[in-house]
Amino acid sequence: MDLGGTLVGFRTGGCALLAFAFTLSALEKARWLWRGAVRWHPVVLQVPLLARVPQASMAASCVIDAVVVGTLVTRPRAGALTATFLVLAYTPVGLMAMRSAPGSGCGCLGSFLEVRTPTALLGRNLTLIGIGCFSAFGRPVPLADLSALGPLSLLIASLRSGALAAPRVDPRWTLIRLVPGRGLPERGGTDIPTGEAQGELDGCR
Amino acid sequence: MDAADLLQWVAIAVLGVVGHRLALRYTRQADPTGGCGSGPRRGEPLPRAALRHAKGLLRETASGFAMAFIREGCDLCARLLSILADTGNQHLLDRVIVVTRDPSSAFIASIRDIGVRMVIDDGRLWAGCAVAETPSVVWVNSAGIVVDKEITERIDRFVGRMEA
Repeated sequence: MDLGGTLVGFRTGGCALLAFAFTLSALEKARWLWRGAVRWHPVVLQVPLLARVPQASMAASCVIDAVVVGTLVTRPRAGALTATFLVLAYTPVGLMAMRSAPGSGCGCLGSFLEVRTPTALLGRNLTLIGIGCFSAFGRPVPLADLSALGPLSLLIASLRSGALAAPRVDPRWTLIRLVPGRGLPERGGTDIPTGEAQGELDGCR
Repeated sequence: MDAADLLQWVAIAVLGVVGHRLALRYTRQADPTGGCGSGPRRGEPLPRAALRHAKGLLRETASGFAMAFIREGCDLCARLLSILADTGNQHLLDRVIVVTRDPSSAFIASIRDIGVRMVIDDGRLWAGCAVAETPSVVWVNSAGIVVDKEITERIDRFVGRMEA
């Protein structure tokens, strides 16, 4: 078995995964900018420095993400290092946003593996940092030199894992159904009315 | 990289991103309330607690009012707030109550800046109105009956349509 070749493959795959995550991140930021609602972005709300110049900071962050994607595709080692550094920098800010409004998400990394709790955010970002380090300290093949069909399976796998990891998931989007009776995690904003709230339900059902 | 490779990459990227967005949108649109939909039912009274809040906040409710259920971190809710912030239409602001659940202090401050009426909910009002999706907008007439509801960020158009 060619272990060296396999490792190169995994490192290249890691770069593709990071490139995908940062592409989503850049697109998500572009979408917030397009909608003109940057002021209410969870991260911007919690960081006074960003709140002072919300549009400019979001635009700058969007451009940085796009540059990281370009670097990952053409110079994978440098790209992986930059991506690792960025995820490291985004983590405390994302945690701050999540802690201030529990359950609302941080709107970071373009809902890649959509996370809704600080622990999940930490887990996702540490995984990405691990993948970044693993890819940076080896010899990944530049993605630009590969046929795109190679990473297709990785892309599909990341989409599926994203659907599985998302707390607001519909069973039809998962590969495995959860145990009947246990149910799915509740989606944002949905509560089972109890006590006083049940009494107020007169108009809803 | 030749043109064919580039074309493949572009196709894969578009497919991936569109697929990801569709997956998120689809999961968000699934209705967990089993047909009731998000928000109180049309043609039925608004839950008492919600009506009490509305009457306490608005100067007059004779011509009806809108309740917008929003939460922090929801991009369409942010768009709804930006529409209210940019409207310059006091009549619209006077017709809208924003209900937000477990918000941060920064979020509360940003809504106060707009000048729109706000209810800070601990989840009970939200549950009482069976809100499952955001932004959920409900139009209530002078008798406290839910006339219409919609999942939309275009609250200006919704209110305009209801008042027409």
